[in-house]
Amino acid sequence: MAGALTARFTKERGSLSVTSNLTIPVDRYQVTVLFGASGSGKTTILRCIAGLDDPEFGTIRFGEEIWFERGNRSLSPQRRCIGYVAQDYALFPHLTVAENVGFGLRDIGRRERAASVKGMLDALELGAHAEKRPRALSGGEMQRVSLARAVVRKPRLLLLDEPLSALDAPTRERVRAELGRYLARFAIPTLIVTHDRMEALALGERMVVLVGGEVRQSGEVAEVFRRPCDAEVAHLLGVESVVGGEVEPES
Amino acid sequence: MDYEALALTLKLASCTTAVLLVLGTPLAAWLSSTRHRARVFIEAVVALPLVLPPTVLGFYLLFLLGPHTWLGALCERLFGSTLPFSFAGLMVGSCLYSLPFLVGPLRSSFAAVDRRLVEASWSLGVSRTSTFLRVIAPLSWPGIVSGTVLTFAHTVGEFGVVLMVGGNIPGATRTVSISIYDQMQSLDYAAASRTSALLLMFSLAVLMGTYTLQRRTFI
Repeated sequence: MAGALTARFTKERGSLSVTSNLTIPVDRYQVTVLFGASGSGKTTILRCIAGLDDPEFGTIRFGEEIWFERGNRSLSPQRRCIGYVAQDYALFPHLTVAENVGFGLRDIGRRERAASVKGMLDALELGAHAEKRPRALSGGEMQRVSLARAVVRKPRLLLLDEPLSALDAPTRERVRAELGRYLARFAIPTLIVTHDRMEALALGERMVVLVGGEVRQSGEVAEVFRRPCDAEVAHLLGVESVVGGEVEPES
Repeated sequence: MDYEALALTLKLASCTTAVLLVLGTPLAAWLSSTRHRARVFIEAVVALPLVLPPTVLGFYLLFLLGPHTWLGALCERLFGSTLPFSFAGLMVGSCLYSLPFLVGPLRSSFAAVDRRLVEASWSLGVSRTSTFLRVIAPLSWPGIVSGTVLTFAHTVGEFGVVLMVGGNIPGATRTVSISIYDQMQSLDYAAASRTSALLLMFSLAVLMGTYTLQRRTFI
């Protein structure tokens, strides 16, 4: 495993300046959640890590490999070997489910590709839908196809952008549990962007809380929920009663 | 009916459409995705034939391809003769004049493809060229067909540029539209009427086919 993903950069997005100073030890924690309210810059950070946007300043490293260094290097998304699951799944509408899943497997033989696709479809219980077009699938099935397509290439890092936000509430609960099982099975270092604290609690081992484009707190999920660093983070995490106070050192 | 002119027109339209598909597709793909400073200028140049009188384009082509410019001299050295008043010259004129009819619909179709699908393809390790061929082009199919058909039809109906650059040489540069003009000049209204009716029906069929295709999508 790679060690750590280090993303220290600044990215302007409209009127918001997003500052990332993340170090995610992907060798110690499999699933890290990037948590924050809508518009806090979570997706901007994820897109920069994926190579879909370039920051204005800073560096992004994965282990020893430099993915981005302002003025020197910007590794294309194709060469970062990541799996990226977009918010609305971005399935190719003109291809079948099996073709979608095998889309990124062009550099291996046809037989091997077919076997990989079949294995992945079976693992995600999508075998019966192999020849269907995405428009014939439910939201949960589309989510699984998108995950299968990203994971079948055995990426070094899996990036999920609000993976459950396109689903209705009852489906979301079921798919959340499924997603947790699949992520554990694939054992790929994963970064999940979400604004849903249930998702963060259910899926994450470590979490990073973003407020106004900046990292406000990071740590193990249970620890962050138990000891939010300030009132704003506490509100984000669902703490409803916050009482002001002062800590005085013991004399 | 001037069948020789009809055959020449179909040959000119087919060759022009083929050449423009090869040259215009990468240009449209570039225009649909670039933020380069030169984009506005290139777009304006491509669209120029839409607003420019064909005689103006014809005049400049005659001048540029004539024997007194370096380009004309180069063509003369390469092909043994200058391009004006030849089928090759007619091709150059037609390609320039029909360029916006291909590049416009293609560029719009390429730009309309959901950016998230393109990014999904890149994140799956697929190169930009391969993404174009496997995602953008298949999803732009109705636009590609519309552009191709419109280019072909527009070339069939060309008159001003054809007359200026090609003249009226039977079998070499006389197209159907020139033939109708000729028939009118010689007061052969029956022949002019038949040829005009043919072009009218052809144009109507092409437009109906194009609109039908535009309604169809994969999704």
